[in-house]
Amino acid sequence: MIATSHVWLRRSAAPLVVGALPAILFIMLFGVYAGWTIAVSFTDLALLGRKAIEPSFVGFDNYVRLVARDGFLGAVWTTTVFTFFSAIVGQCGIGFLLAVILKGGKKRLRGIVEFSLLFGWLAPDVVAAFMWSALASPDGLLNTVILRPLGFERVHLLNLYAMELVVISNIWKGTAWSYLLFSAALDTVSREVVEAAYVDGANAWQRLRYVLVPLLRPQIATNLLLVTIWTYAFFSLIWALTGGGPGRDTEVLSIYMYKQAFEVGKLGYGSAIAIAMMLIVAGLSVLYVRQGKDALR
Amino acid sequence: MALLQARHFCKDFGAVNVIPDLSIDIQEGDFTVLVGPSGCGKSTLLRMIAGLEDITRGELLIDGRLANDLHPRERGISMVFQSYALYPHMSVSENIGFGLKLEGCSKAEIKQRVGDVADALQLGELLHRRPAQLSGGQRQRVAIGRAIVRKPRIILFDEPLSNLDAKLRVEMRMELMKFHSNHGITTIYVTHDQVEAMTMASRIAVMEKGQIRQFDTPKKLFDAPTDPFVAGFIGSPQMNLFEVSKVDGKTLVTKEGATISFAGLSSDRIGHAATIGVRPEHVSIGGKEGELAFMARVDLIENLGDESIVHLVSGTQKITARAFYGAECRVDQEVRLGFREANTHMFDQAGQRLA
Repeated sequence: MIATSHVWLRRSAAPLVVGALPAILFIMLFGVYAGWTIAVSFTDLALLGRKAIEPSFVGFDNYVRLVARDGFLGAVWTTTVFTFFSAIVGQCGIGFLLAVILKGGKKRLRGIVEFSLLFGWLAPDVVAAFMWSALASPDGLLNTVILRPLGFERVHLLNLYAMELVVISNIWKGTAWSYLLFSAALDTVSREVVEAAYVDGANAWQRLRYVLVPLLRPQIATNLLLVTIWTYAFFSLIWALTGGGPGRDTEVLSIYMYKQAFEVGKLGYGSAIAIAMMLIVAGLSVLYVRQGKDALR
Repeated sequence: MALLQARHFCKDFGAVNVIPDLSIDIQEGDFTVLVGPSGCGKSTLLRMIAGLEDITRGELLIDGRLANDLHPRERGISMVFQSYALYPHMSVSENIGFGLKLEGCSKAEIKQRVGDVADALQLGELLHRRPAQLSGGQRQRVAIGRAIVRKPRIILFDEPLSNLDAKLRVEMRMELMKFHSNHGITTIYVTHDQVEAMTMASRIAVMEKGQIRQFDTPKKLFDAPTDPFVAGFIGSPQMNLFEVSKVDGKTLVTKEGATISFAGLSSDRIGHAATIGVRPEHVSIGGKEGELAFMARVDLIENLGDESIVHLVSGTQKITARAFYGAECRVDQEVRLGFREANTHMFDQAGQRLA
């Protein structure tokens, strides 16, 4: 490492180490926490009570419980559904389509759409959650302005359509990122190539299917990787909007982990959930990275 | 009847009018070149014919049928782009066969037709390669293959040689000419390079500011340009153009201050021209009896081996002369120049050629 840097840096290794100390400590902190989480996941450490002081080693008990009991697998399913619809179909799909449609569109329309998208993106999660619950609550905007005047009964949307609502609010929140990424990526596609496809007789769908998507495959894979990782571990918006409920309808992994660790108090089990989450995301990442590499070949 | 007729084409981009009113007839089998300086609207015209730009006003007739709202494929048109625009993620055979695949041809038919085209263009060995693995010349042939595989009536080229180096450009030019003479497909070719235009075209349309200034055979364009713009545009080095500001007896003075005597001429016809053009190869250093004559100072001599291009100045009037056996003059020397009336191109005030 040092050999590639400047001569004057190479000759003064001591101040260099001192300068890098904060960074080294920081990295060590990461290592310590990761190691601690792994270690704890093999114990029955609890938040309160005797087990908080004298935890005992339980081997793979916590991991066995992940599979043996309902909670974890249910949360995996909920998270997968949430991620698939809100991140992959919603943010990535809608972001891509919007980018394609608005590419040649009128500037004013584009400005309005971009502003709306960015507004959602820039709003803090908790604020967004508050807005959506204000929209959907029994006394909220939808009920008082649309449903009631039309003669419908008051609907408790947050109870009846909790998953749909968190999915929609997360799409609203996160589409801007994918849109911006794909807009920039589309600029790299030669206009003549798309025109050539048009002259060759490709309609809009065929141009998308045979030209744009294959050309943007590396960017699509990268974006899918990013939004999947973010969404798989997403916590704040759902927690603030539904708290994982009603029942366990929107209890995604992060919320399940939080509840197990800090409400039930089983830190050991919570750590095991965290490790499992990391492994799932890592597995998905490998998949996406392979996809991207195939595209580059 | 002409295969393709553009009638009173007009093109606006927002508030900007690029083509005011343009009509052109293109005959079946012709190699038509649209040439002009950049921004003259030649590419826009080509894209309107292709269907890549809307025709703001006017009619496009192909085979007598109104084609304004037809898809390029329905117009029987295909196109070779400046960058060739090959699909980078497809192999050569997929590139060529893409249009057929979209038409819904069977796999066997696509293979057959792609194979035929590949044979004709000597691409047989390359069918499995990606565009990135091809040379410039091979890419051009793939682009042409993609354009002809659907058996179009008309094939359009948008400056296809402008990205190539000089040597390859000459080779590709010859290949294109051979291709046209072998296949006889009606071709419309856009370029800003007049050498390409002169060598390849059966007819050339010289364009300026969205209008066709002259549409004629290369020889006619060179020998009898109908207006000063065409006269100046066709030919290299450029034709000398003298704008006459006043005529005084047997001498005329140009706007740039050169004084040209036509005392040696028997007729006074030259005194009626508003613009006089003469090609550099017709300007002789020294001059002879019975010629138009004037004095100029040698500014620069470009020696090209077999010929020399001599740049001269008279007043602020720049003159170019071409000498085929080396120039017998040196820089800063005052020399007498002469040219024959028969070699002049004369235009009136309105820019019309005088017979």
